[in-house]
Amino acid sequence: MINLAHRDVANHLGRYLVTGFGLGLLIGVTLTMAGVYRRMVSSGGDPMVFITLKDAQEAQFLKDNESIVNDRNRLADNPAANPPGQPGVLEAVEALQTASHRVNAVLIRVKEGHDPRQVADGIERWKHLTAYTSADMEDILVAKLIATAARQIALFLIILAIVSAAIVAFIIYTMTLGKIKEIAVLKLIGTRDRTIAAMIMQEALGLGVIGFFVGKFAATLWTPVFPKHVLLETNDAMGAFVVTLVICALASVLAIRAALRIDPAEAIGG
Amino acid sequence: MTTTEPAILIENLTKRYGSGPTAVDALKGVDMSIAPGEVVGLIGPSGSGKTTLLKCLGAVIEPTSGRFTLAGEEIYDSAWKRTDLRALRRDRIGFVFQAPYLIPFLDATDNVALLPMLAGVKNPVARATALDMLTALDVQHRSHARIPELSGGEQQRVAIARALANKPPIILADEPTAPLDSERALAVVKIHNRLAQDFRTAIIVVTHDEKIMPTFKRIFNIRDGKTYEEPGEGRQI
Repeated sequence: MINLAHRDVANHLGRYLVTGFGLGLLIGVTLTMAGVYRRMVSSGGDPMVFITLKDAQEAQFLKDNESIVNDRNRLADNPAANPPGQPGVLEAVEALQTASHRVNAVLIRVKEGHDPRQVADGIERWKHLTAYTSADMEDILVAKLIATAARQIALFLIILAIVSAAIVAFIIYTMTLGKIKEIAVLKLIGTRDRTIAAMIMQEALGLGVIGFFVGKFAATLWTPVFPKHVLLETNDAMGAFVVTLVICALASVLAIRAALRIDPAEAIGG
Repeated sequence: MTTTEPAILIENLTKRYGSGPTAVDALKGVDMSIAPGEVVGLIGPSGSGKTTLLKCLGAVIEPTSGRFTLAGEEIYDSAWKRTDLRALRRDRIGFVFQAPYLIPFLDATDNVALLPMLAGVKNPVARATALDMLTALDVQHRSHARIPELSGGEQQRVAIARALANKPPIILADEPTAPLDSERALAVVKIHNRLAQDFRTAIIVVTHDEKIMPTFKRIFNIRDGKTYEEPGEGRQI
C-alpha cells in the first residue's frame, strides 16, 4: 500500500527520490510502504517512513544471504538439527531461525471514558512489558531528547544574539560618528535630544526589521534543502522578531550616548 | 517689534577662553547694530574671532561679558536671560551653513516643517508654512522631492527656507557661498537680499568670498577680537 499525497510528491519529488533510493538500498524492493507523512520526523529530526509490521520485522530481523547460507550449512552439519533420515527437522529449524514473532512496540488507542494511566498500570503488571501514556512519551521526548537539543540551540542563539548586537551597535555607532556635523546642526536649530535619540533608534530598528525579514525569507526558502526538518512556528517567529527589535534597541544605546554628547557649537565654523 | 528697533544689538561683547596666564581673549568688546531687513558681511582672517562671535550670537557658547539684544528682547547681559537656549535658537535665530545639512530621508517640505513642528506647531500648519517658505525660494515644485533627488542649488534653497521657517529676526549664515561658483554665489546673495526685505530679517553673512563682498552695504571686519565697521559697495545684482 502506498500512501503518498500527490502535492507532497510534487513538492518534494527530488527529496523522495533520494530518500527512496536510500531506502531501496536498505530494505530492498519487497517491502510495502504504508505511508510517508509530511512534517513527521523522529526525535532526532530525521525523516520517517511508515511500513507494515511484517515488513518492519523483516527489515529488522531478516539476515543477509551470506548469513543464511552459513547458518544452513552449519545446521546441515549438526546431527541434532539434521538427523539422518528426517529431512523435515532441518526445514523446521531453519524456518524458526529466519522468522521472528517479536514486536518492539504496540500503539494502543484507549476508548473514551477510560483512563490511559490505569490501562498502562494494568499492562505493566505483566513481566517484561513497559507501558507509556501519551503524556509519558511526551515527557521522554521533551524533557530528555528535545531539552538537550534545545539547550544546545539556546547556547548558539545566545552567542549569535551577542554577536548580532555587537555588529548592530558597531554599524549604528559608526553611522552616528559619520554624521557628527549633521547631528550638531540638528541640535543647533533646536532639535530635542529625545528626537535625535528616536531617529538613531529608528535607524537601528529599521536595520533589525530588514535583517529579520531577510533571515526569515532565507530560512523559509532553504528549509526544504536543510538536512533536518526545521519548524519555525508563528509564535516563535513573532518572539524572534520582538527579540531582534530589543537587541537592536539595546545596540543603539551606545550611538545615542555618543550623539547626545555632540556639542551644537561643532556645527559652526570649520 | 518696531521698525526702528535693531534686529540685533551687541554692546561691548567679550569672550575669554580659559583663565589665568593662559587665558585667550577671543572677543575684546564687540559692538554691532543691524537693522531688520539688512544684510551685512562679517569678515576677518583666521583666528580673528569670527567663529567665536557667531557661536555667541547663535547662543551655543556663553560670552564673558557685554550685552546682546535680539529684536528688542534682551538675550544676554553678563548672563543669559533665557534658560532654554535651545528654544531660543529654534524660535529666534536662523542658521545657514556652507553645506545644507538637511535630513536625507525626509522630503523638502518635511525638512522645512521640522522647525515649526519642534516649536509645537501642528503638522498641517507647519507644512503649510513650509510650503510658503519653499514658494518664497522658488522650490515649491520640488516640495515632495527627497533631499538626494534635489540639485545642490535646490538643497541650499531648502536649507534657507528651513532657516526662515520660524520667521526669526536674524539669520546667521556661515560661509554660505564658499563652494559655489560666481554665478551661483551671486544668486544666493540675491536670495538673501530679497528674503531679508520680504521677511524683515537681518542676515549676518560670515564670508571670505571676494565674489560677494561688493554686494554688502556694510561690512564688519573683525581683527584681534574687535569689529571695525567698513562701508561696502552695496552693488545691486
